Amino acid sequence: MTRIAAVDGGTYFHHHTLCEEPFAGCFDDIIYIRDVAFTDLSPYDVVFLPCRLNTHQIAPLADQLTHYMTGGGTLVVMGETFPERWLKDIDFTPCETNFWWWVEGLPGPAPRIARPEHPLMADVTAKDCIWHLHGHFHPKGPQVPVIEDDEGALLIEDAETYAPGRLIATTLDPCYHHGSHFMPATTAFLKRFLPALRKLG
Amino acid sequence: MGRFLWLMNTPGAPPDFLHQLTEHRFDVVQQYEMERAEFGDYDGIITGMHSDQRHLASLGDRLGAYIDAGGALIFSGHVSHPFLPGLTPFRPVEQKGLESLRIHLETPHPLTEGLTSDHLTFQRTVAGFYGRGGNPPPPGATVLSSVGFDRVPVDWIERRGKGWLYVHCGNDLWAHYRRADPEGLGHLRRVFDFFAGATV
Repeated sequence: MTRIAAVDGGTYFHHHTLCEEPFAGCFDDIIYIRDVAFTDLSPYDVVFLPCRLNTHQIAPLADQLTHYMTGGGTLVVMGETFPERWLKDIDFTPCETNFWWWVEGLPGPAPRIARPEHPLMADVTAKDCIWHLHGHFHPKGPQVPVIEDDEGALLIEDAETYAPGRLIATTLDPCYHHGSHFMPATTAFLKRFLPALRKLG
Repeated sequence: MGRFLWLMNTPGAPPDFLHQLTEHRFDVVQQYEMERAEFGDYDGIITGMHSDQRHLASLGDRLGAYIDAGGALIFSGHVSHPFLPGLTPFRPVEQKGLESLRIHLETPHPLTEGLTSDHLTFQRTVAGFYGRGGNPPPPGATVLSSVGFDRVPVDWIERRGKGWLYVHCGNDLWAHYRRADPEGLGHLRRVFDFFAGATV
């Protein structure tokens, strides 16, 4: 059984996403951000950092999170947490976010599932990944795009740098919007994405 | 001149308008640094949608005493961890089209003077940014605005001792107040003027 811990930054959108239905059952334990430094993460197969967890609070934990991965854990990093600021060799380019393409009649994001065989993508379609974009990763070395578009990667996996553990990081920010009771597309994405975390064991 | 403590819990910058409201002073800090602040130095403490409410709850006694003594706490967001007595967790409204998310102005008040329902309801014709439900107000609070068919309270203010608790249930208040007067910033000025003058 895959054991999953999520880190809670104490915000309302973290609380709603991590601790309330329909996704509370996707996580075994919730660890408050200020308790992470005092917590042994090694019992968990997956540690999940939700969207907009304050970068200033994650950065001091970078060594601990790196050791967690090199010890065999999978770290899942969601959007707007800026992993390029606290992990090595992450190349991220922010973009001007167009929240309004659907109002203005403009083309919206055009993502592709680059690795449909990836366990997190078992139920996720390209259409599920469409709301807006905050930026792109530019994979290098062993980083593999799992979701991508013509500009770069929206979700990457690196199964070598931290072997036997791995890093999965996305630029998509569904936890923030679902947790704010805003943007139903993000709830739909999470309904397909979060249950699949159990497949990462 | 008022002095305000502006709490951040993101790595970004605070809103530009803080530099434009030169009649007031804003001390911008990451939220956890508030522990070292002398609350009594401030006319108001501003905390928003990104706040760590578990941390605010750990400071509940200090915040409550600060308000009672004449301070003001101005909170935007959904209550998930009631960090002061009288706060109740967020309850969403059922979203059934635009009118279910329309913001209604309720009690005339200096804080909302000159604002209209449309100012608060729409952002580029889209409704829902300002408020999508309510943090139920305690008895005796003054409801300033509401949302939807059932007019669920979205903004309310309560006198507590010599101070104020102002709760806005939604995305941070400021963007809407700015858009309502982007050049003069009149609605924003009115908010900070109110709390600067009201907390002697």
